[in-house]
Formats: sequence, C-alpha cells, structure tokens
Amino acid sequence: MIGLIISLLVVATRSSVPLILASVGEVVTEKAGIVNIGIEGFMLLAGVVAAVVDYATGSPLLGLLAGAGVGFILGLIHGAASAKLKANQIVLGIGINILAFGIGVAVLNHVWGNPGQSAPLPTIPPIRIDGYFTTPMFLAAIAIALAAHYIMTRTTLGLEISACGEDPHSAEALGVKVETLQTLVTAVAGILHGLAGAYLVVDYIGQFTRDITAGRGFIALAIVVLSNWNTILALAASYLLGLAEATALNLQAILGVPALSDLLNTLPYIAALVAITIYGVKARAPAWLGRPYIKE
Amino acid sequence: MKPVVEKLIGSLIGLAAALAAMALAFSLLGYNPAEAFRLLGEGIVENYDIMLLRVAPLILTSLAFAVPAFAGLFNIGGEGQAYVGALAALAVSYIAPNPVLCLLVGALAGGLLGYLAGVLRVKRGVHEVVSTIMLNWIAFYTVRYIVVNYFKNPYYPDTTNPVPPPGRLGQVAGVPVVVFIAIAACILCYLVLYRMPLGLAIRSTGAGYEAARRLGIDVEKAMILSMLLGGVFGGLAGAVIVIGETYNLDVALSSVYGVGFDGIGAALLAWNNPLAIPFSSLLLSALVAGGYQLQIGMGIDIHVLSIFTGVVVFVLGLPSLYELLKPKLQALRLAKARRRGGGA
Amino acid sequence: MAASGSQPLLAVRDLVKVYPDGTVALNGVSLDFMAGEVHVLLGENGAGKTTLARIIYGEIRPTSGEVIYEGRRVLFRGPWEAIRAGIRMIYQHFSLVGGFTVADNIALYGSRLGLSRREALEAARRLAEEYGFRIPFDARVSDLPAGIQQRVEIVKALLVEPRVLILDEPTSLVSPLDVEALFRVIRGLREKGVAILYITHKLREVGVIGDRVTVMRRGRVVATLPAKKATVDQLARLMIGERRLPEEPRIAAAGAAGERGAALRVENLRVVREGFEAVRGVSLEVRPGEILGVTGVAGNGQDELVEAIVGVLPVAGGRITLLGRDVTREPTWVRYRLGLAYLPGSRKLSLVQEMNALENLALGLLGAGKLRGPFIDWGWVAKLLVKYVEELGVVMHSPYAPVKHLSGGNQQKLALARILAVEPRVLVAVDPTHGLDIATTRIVHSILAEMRSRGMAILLVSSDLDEVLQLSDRVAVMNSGRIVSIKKPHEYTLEELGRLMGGAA
Repeated sequence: MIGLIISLLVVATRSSVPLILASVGEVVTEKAGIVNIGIEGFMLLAGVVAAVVDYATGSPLLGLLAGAGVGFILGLIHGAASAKLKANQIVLGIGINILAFGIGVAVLNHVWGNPGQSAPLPTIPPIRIDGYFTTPMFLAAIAIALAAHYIMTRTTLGLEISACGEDPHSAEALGVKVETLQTLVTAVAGILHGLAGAYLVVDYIGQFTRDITAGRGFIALAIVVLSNWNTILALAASYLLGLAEATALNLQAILGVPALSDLLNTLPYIAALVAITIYGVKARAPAWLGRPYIKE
Repeated sequence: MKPVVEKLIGSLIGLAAALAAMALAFSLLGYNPAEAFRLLGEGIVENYDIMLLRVAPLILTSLAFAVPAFAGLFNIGGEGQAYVGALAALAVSYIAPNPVLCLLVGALAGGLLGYLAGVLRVKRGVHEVVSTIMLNWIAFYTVRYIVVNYFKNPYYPDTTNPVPPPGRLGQVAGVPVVVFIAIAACILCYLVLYRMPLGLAIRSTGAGYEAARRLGIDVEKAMILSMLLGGVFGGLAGAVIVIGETYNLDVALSSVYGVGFDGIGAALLAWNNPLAIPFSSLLLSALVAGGYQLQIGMGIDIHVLSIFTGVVVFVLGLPSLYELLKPKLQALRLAKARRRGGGA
Repeated sequence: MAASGSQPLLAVRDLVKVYPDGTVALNGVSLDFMAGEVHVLLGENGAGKTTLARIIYGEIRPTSGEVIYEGRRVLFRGPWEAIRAGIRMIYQHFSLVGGFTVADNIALYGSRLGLSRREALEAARRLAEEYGFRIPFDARVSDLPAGIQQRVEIVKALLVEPRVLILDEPTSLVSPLDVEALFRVIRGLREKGVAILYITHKLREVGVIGDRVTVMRRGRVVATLPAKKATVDQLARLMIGERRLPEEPRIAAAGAAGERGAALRVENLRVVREGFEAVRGVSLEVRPGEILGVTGVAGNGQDELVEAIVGVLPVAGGRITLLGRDVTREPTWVRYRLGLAYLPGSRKLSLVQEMNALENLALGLLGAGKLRGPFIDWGWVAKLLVKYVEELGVVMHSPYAPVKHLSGGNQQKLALARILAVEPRVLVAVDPTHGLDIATTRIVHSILAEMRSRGMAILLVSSDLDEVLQLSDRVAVMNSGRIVSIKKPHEYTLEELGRLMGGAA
C-alpha cells in the first residue's frame, strides 16, 4: 500500500509538470489583466513544433526550446491583440485553440503521414531516485514557479504587473506602460505554455498526438482560480490535480479492467470542476481581468 | 449592434483571412494550393449529400453558442452537449424507436448540461468557459465508456448497435429531414430572441447587464435559461447526427467530435444571428464535404480544415478595421471642425 | 523656502479646459499658490476645482493656458512626472490600488521616487509613527475603512517630502477624528514650507485650515479672500450664487399624502461599499402623491442610498419597505414587479444603450411584468412608443437604431416614457435633468410633477439645488452618509442649505 502511494506521488511529479507551467504562466498573465483561453492551443502548437524539431534533430532539448519559442510568439500575438487592439480576449483564445488543432493535424499528416499521432520520439532522460523515475522538468517547473512567485511578490516589476490587472489607470498614472507590459507578460507566460506543450511531447508522452493536451490548458485555467491567483498555491493545486491524473492512470493499471479506463479518465476534470465550484466563490480575480483598458 | 454591412464586411475579411491561411498551410505542406482548392470545390459538388448531412448538426451547435452569447456568455460546451445528446438519443432509440422522442430526450440531455454550467456561473461564479470545457471532457469519456461497454455492436466492434429503422429519420426530396429540423430550430430561436419576452431579457442582459438589471430584468434567470437553451440545441445536434445521419456512434465518437467547435466558427461568422447561421453553417459544411475530396485526392486529413475555422474565429475576435480606425477618424473630424471654427 | 515671501511656488494662468463632450470645466482660471500657505478651493460640484487639480498634477492637459512651477512653465506628461518634481495629490476617492496590500501600494509608489521596497516601507513606518497613525501594512486596501485608507494615502504622498500637496475633498469620506489627524499633518507641512492646495465644498473647513480661500463657480474664480476673515454665510452665498427660493409652500398633493401610508419606507438603512460605510443609518418615507427631494454634494452617500433602495447594492443593516412589503433582501426585478421604477443618474444605465427605442420600451414593460403572453406584440409597443414620442417630443430618426446615438435629452425622454408606460407607484429618480438643455429640463420637470399629481410617490435625488427646491414637497439634505435635515422647501434659507450641505450645521 505504501509502495503504491509513493509510486502515485512520484507519477504525479510527471503528470503535474504541464499543469504547473501552464497555470503559473496564466496566473501571471491574468495578474496583468489579460485572460488567455488559448493555452490549450499554445500547448498544441508548441507541442507539434517540438515534435518536429525533436524528430529532425534527435534532441528533445532542442524540441523543448522550439516549443518555448512558439509559445513566446503566440503570446506576443495574443498579448498585442488583447492589450493594444482591445480584441475580444475569449474569442481570440477559442480561435487559437481551433487553429492549433488544425495545424497539429496538418503537420502530423505531412511529417508522419498519420493524422492521429507521430512516431515515438527521443525523450528527455528521466532521473532515477531509489527505483522511481521522475523528470528533471519537475524540478525546473518548481524553480520557475518559485521564480515567478519571487518576481510577483518581491519586485517592483511584479507590482507593476499586478497593478495593470487591478487598476490600469492608477498604474498608468504612476508611469507604467500598461499596454506594453501586458503584451510582454503574455508573451513571456507564453513561453511557459509552450514549455508545457513541448514537455508533453518530448518527455511525458514521448510522441505527439492530435489531442495530446486533453484539456490540460483548461484545467490550468481552473487551477488559476483555485489558487486565487497565487503562484505557490497554483503549484500546489497543479500537483494535486496531477495526482488525480496519476491516480486514474494507476487505478487503470491496478484494476486491470480496461473497461473502466474511460470512467477513470474523467477524474481530473471532475476534480477540477468540483474544486472550482466549492472554492471558486472565495477567489478574487484581478479587478480588470479580461476588460480592455481604454485610456481617457 | 453594428450595421449589417459592417458585419458582412467583417465576416468576409474573416473568410478571406481563413482562405489565405489555408493556402499558406497547403503550400507549406508542399501541396499546390490551387490544386487543393480545386479539389475542395470539386468535393463540394460531388459530396453535396455529405454537406447536407453535416449542415444540420453544425447549425445546431452554432445555435448552442449563439443563444448564450446574446446573454453575454461563452458556451464552449456545444461539443459535450452534443456527445450526451447523441448518446441519449441512441439509448432511447433502443427502447422506444421513435425519432421525435429520441430528439427530445437528446435535447433534454444537452440542455441539462448547459443548465448546469449556467447555474454554476450565476450561483457559484464558475466561469462558463472553464466549466463547459471540463464538462466536455467528462461527457466525452463517459459517453465513450457507455458506448464501448454497453452499446457495442457484436459484429462491428468499432461501432454501436444501429438505431432501429423505425427510429431513423431519412430524406425528403433528397434533403435529410434533420436539415429541416435544424432550420426550424433557427426560426424558433429567432422567434424566442426577437419575439418573446425571454429573448428580450436575454438580449438585454448581454447588451447591457448593468442597465438591464436596473430596468427590472431578472438577469440571472436570463443567463441560466440562455445556457439551458444553448444546451438544448447542443444536445439536439448530437441527436440529429445519430437519428438522421450515421444511425450509430463509433467508439472514437468521430462523427460528433469537433462539431461543437466548428459550430462556434459558424456562429461567429453569422454574428450569432439565427437567420444567418444556416448560411454560415452551410459554408463550413461545404468545406467539410470538400475536405473529403481533399483527403481522398491528396491524403490531407479532414481535420486540417480546423485551420480555416480557427482563423475565422480569431479574425472575428479582433476589432474590425473600422473600429480600429474610428478614434483616428474622429480626431481628424474634430481637428477639421476646430480649424473651421478657428478660421471663422 | 527663501522666496516664499513674494514669488508663488506654483501658479496657473488663464487655464481653460473643454472636455471632449463639450463641457467647459475651466473658463480662464488664474491662481497663485505660495509656499507655506494653505490655499482652499471652495465650490459646488462642477465648479472646476478637481479639473484644476488634475491639470496641475499632469493627469489631464489643459485646452489652453499654462502651469508655472518654481518659476518655470511646466507640462507634465503624466502624474509620475509631477510626483518626481515634488507635487503630490491625495484624491477624494483615493488612488490606492484596492486589490493590493498597503505595503505593496507604498512600495509601488516609492519605486517612482527611486526608493527600494525596504526604504519606502521604512519611511512609511517612520511617518506613521510620527503622526501616530496605526496602519496595518499587510492588509488589503479594499478591506480597510476609508479613514485608514486616507492615512495610507497621506503616508504615501509624504514618503519623500513634497513641495506642493494637493488634497481633493479629503474629509468627505472620513470621520471627524480622522479629520483632526489630517489637519495636524497639514499644519505640520505648512510649517515646513509646503504649498498646500486644499479642495473642499465644506464651508466650516475654510476658516479652520485655510490661509486663503478661492471660491469657484462654473469654471470661474468668483473671489479670493483671506480665509480667517470670510464668514460661513458669506462663503455660502458666494458658492451657491444667486437663486430664488420658492416663496409659497407647496400644497398640491400634500392633502392626499397625509391620508395614506408611506409607499416607500426606509428605516435605519446602512450600506457598506468597498469597506466604507457610505450610508449610515438613513430613515425616510415617501408618500403617494409626494416628491421627496434628497440633495447634497455628490459623494455623500446618495448613490449608495439609491442603489440600495432599488436593490442593486446589498444592505448592511436596516429595512426597506415597498408598498407595505419588506423588500430588504429582494432583487431589483422583484421590487419592479411590486411597482417600483428607477431612473438612474447615469444615462448609460437608464436605457440599454445598445438596444433600440422599441426594445427599451418593451424592456420597461417587461420589467414591470406588463408584457403578457408568449409573444411580444411589437405593434402595440410601437403604438405606445409613437404616443410617447409625440407627447414628449422625442427627436429620433428611427425606432430601430440603438439609443446610444440619441442625444442625452432624447434618451432621458425615452427613459421617462418607459416609466410612464408602466405607471409605477414608486419612482426613484436621480439627477433627472443633469446635462440637459433648459427646454428639455422643463419637460422633464413637468413630467415629474404630472406623475406626482397622479399619485405616484417620487424620491428625487439630485445635486441640483434649484431642481430639488422647485419640485419637492419636502427636501432632505444628505451629508456624510446621513440625512441631516428634512423640511419643506420654503422653510430653508440659502445660508442654511449651504451650511447643511457643507456639513457645517
């Protein structure tokens, strides 16, 4: 039993990585007042590019880097369209999600001749601790979450970012270039979304499939609310929902009843929905979240 | 609301951008875009029956997005509502193979899912985008679980037992009956939105929440009912697929998969207008029909067409060219007026 | 402070400000502000005091005219440049980021002055200690009462000693104790040679804190006097200007009113908004066939009182009875069904801007529960609309165009049409003629009078004194979240009203 629990806890270190990266990125984006519903699409596009790069070069690390780059560019686009052009942030995000799905399929089709999945790809070597395997990306994700927490709570930059999302007019009065900062924050957070997608491909799953993200981008959005826009709590909530996924996976293996696997698959989504229903009411979103900031 | 011409121009810009994106995608993938578009066009003519079959669920998922949008809500759950609608219709057909009953129960199932998201939003502050996506995935796996474990066809294990013939809807004059149902749904939707008090309440909630509640409108009820109604249409979309198109489900739910998201594209293209939705849906389903030809002729998977839908949605999310230019135009006009005033 | 004797530290010359909507907020204002002097700017709403302050602070640009600071003409690109130059401002509604903790607010502000987080917080603690302020640095600002928020504002503004300090209505939202503390701070700064620009509408404060007082009215300077010599009555008259008070007592509906009970009764109502108790125990009654006017300087709790009565804001304490039924916890739409109608002060909220005239009229009917049947009879609604359009003289091109394109006057007529069409029993109307031309104002006033004569109970909340005095059967004056007086209009004198509104009674 204890062995089982430990193994669950260890599997969760792997399944929680994309949730940590995506939700930490989104906490920071939303703190700046921009909502990104398109995380799922960011992850998919970054994932497919990471897959191609990994496939072509044989280097999962280069794949990861490429995924980060894709995320940055997408973030720049979403950020600029939202902050500067005052686009409808939610519709934009839906568009990116649908678009990314199509591009993913197109690339799969073109490179691997299979619209569903890629060939297996070289992956980042795991870390072995006492017989259990985890990923170095877990440590990286924790480091990123802590760094984000430090920036958001301890630095002037963090205050300026939060001021954009709370009260852009006050921020502007204090000389913060609100639109530019919002764009840059969305772009940098895009890197994290990109890393999350690339990680799925070059580490966790080891191949690209057309629905590899499986709603993780949206679970990340739920985590943001659960964390009450706090990066450390987002880290914790991500790990717990990663644990839900790990539990589903393990139960499938243990019960050995493949018939139940689909029911178990619903576990993370139910967990997220129930959690947000119970705790979401107390959460306090940044006051200007998703509202276009229009100067006088 | 904007004038019609402005909306039409916006939609045309969206379409043009989407076509350009497709052309770009084709050439990047090493296909000749001209050839690809020729095949697409050919496919629309050849597979017009597919087009007619696809248009019905697409119209309905468009309505699923459009109705809550009038109340200011984003129902991204058309997909999940269609899954449960399809399953419910299928299940009922085994017991009581009556198409009307099947459609009603399918609609009800989708409606419940929409209602749940509406209540969560109004009473618990759960954003509908998050809740509907979670419900999409829960619905997907649950429906697949039931399909695989309870409804499997012993002879064709990849599909369910078919709908018994008395439960099926066929064609009238070469047009699937479900198309008429979908068009009737659009008219019903129009009537609800523009002729009935509920629709007035829903539209005022989306157009000006703060004003509407100060005018004595029960905005919370309007929001919840709009989600319920959207869910009903989403559920109906799934039901018409099973009762009027495929007569079964496959274990990957591939006949339903994606129809909810395509519906968002069709809805935005029509600016959520229920009377314009049949046309935008026809356009996107024509694309699907053409896509099959593309798949056969060039080996390009049909889901690549999501690029088209995605770009349409993205572009329509951007402010229109006119809106971007408006402040500049105004400044210009003001400056002119001031100059004239100064001169006089 | 060498030059403090003759040369002004700060001056404005011929300032004109015309807002994009055509409002002339300042119409050629020139003033001097000396180091070591408290210069009070006194005036009613819309006198232009705050516009003047915002121009000095670099928040908005003047249409013409100039600001001269330390002998040089300056044009700040934004408040941050004014802050760096040594000018600080404390706003009426505070410029703190509500979602931030106190410490975060101070750190962000301090960073603009080149202070590190630690330096800024140390300076803030030192100042708090010096002034005897107890400030919870780790609390979220929006959770704090206004008095504490103001202390945070003060500490923030003084992190590095300013040369000019602007205070905009600093006492309107805080308790007398907080006012005492504030005045101590101001006197201390004056000793140190800071030029202080003190904006207020409160007459009593002029003599207590001011050295000089400038009275403003409608964008112009009316007079500048030594503060200690000006009497309250003199200032009241200068501030309000010349107007006639109604001479005869109103008799129109008073007879009918006495017989029946109150249509709207508010008992000991308290409303808390953003941690601040905006309404502090208000009780009032409006009888059928009566207009009860409520007036006061904007921001004294009128908005919160109204929004609580109609059910938009939650109530912290007390009771609201509408036509004999306790509706304290009911949502707005339920109150409408019972016979309430609401005409909000903001035109943006009195009609759904994106919808057309027909739809707005139908919404009015729907809200009152008068749209029966499964289908809306648009022909009937159109007939009603035509009737009111003709009766009220609404000018519009098409009943199908969004009402946002209509002028303010036409919008207000339509808003009244939607109320007339449903014949409510209780109307809550806020600033019904704000921004309207004289002809439209007359029409609106006659409609209100007509409604009263038909037995409607009307709560008229307006900061337009003439309007309230002219229309009301009884007039209540609000100050600092309380009703400080209710009397018949002719029982007031101008000086008394000015004193009551200025909280000096």
